[in-house]
Amino acid sequence: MRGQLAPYVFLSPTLVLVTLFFFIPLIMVFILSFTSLDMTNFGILEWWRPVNWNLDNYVKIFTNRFFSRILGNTIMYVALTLALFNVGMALVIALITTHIKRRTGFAFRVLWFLPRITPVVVYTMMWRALAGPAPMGVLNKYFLGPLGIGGGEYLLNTHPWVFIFLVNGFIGASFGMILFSSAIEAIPKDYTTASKVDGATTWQTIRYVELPMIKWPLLFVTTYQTLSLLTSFEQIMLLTDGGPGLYQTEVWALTAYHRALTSYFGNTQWGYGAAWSVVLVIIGIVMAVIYLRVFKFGELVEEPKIDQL
Amino acid sequence: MKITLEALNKHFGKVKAVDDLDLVVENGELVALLGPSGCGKTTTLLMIAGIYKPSSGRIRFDEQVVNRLLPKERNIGMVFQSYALYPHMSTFDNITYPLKLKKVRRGEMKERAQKAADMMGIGELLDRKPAQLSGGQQQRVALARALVKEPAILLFDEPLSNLDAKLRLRMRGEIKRLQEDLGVTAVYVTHDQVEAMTMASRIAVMNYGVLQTYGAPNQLYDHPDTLFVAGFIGAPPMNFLETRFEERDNGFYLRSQALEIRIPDERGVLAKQNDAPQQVIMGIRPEDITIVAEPEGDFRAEVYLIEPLGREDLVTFRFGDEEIRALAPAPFGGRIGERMFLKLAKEKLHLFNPETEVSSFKER
Repeated sequence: MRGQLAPYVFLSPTLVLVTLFFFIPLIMVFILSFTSLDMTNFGILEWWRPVNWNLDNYVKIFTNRFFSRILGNTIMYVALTLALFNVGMALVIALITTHIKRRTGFAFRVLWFLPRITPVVVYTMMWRALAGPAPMGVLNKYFLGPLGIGGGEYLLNTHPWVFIFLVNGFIGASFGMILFSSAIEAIPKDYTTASKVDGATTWQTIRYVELPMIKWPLLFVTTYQTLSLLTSFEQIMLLTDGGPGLYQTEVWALTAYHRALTSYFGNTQWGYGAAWSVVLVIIGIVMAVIYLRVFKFGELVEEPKIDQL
Repeated sequence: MKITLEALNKHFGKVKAVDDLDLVVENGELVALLGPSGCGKTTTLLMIAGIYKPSSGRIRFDEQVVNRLLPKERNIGMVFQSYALYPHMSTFDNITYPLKLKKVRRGEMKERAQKAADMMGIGELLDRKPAQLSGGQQQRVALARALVKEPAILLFDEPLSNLDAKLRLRMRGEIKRLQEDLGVTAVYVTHDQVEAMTMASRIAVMNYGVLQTYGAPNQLYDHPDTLFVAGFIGAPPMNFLETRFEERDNGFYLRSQALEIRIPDERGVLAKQNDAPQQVIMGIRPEDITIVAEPEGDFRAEVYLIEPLGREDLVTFRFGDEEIRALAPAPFGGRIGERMFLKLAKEKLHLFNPETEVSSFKER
């Protein structure tokens, strides 16, 4: 009896936390998304009763005139940040720093990792200062100005997307970098030696031996970063708040936040915002399943065929 | 292809992994690099492969200096202790990897892979992943991969250490036969002296990065140049006793508290020419000691331990403070505690200078 109970005792802290802060909110958001709960009917609308549930919010989302722009922004934001930085650049840095002197590589990775321990607001504000208009902005004053590029405008107004990618990417790449480089360093030396003796160049060794062997970290980082980029909005909020043009840099998660929690004219639409979030969760789950399929999870759990020793 | 190592050095920081190594491997020869772990044998192998750059010295293949050649330019096949089969590739892809890198045509690739696989008896396993193969099968795949590009040199880095005893014995024979059939030059790194003795035409014994001796297995066994070689080669190992080397009454004697032995005159003269000191270390292999009746015996000793080996029994004797081990035909008649007479084969004795650890019987 005690033996059967033990696993649950050890699991309970995690179970409690996950239940309290993930499953219950998820169910509540799911229910909320079928209601019209907002600041004006708060306390009046009995949102927990099924009679008040309908699909109006979802209809509103898909008929929204900015729907395609928001969807397009989100896809571009996630895909490009992921490809160029969080996986792409992370992999490049990891490969470079593991193929040079060990110490140098390590020092470089530590440097690159530093922004991670900076609070995101501070970090983002530093980028805003970088992008500032002519006399104040570092980029304009010391780089673009002397080189005669641009008219010294506020760069977040002229090139908002560039900064959104850079701000997210530079910090995002460090996560993959750490995972990839430790995975690469964990590859037994014999494999790379064998590959070189077999006639491979360094690049061919990376391409045919090292990359396939870090497939799991690649899958994990890609999946994890897709999901976290899908739901991240704080850097964009702090940088452009979806602007400067109408919905120019508004992404899905930011829309959910704006609809649900930004109060304009006393109209905070919790139910509508919840619906945006629910759709996002579904997109996230679908993406995760697709990744598992693409990376052929099934192959890795194949039955052994050993019949003689 | 003939391999020549000239004054080869490899330093890692302050550590001298390989120290001033000179070695020639003749074309078609299988040479074993033998030594305890950390003796520099694998470092030497990796320098031949082109993975490590020598700190100084030269490596020649035939007459060409290859120090600066990349591994891919050296036409080498290598087999590892860990097999180092790429786990994400099938047997076929593993074997054809060197060919793929050489951009060999698909059809020819298939043909050569099948030939190499059949030669190793793994033709049926081409679609399997390494994880679905047994250790012995994996080693055969690794051999096929090393052979498929028809290398000029084969390098082995303890290829049999991960196999069980029976399989090791079988693969040992197969590798030797294969190497002889193909006539390919091979360097074989091992810490197992039996493996080195049985497979190699010559053995290079290394310790602390220094070449101790280089010669044919029997030469090393019968006439070891140094104390280290004498103790390292041979199982059960050679017995060593501290003795005094004396010349008197026109004869040469080895004397300790418990024994006195007259050694053959010509050996004594040789030792004298080699400036053998008064204090010497005498070595005698267990098979060169026989148990005899009193009149012929050199000294008396007490049976301390009996270890049956099947064909023979390994008997440990004690006399005075000393211990000596002898091989006796099984079944050994004695009991523990029994006192018996031992006779040493005088012509099989070895003498070593305790300072230099060099054999006093070394021909100059």
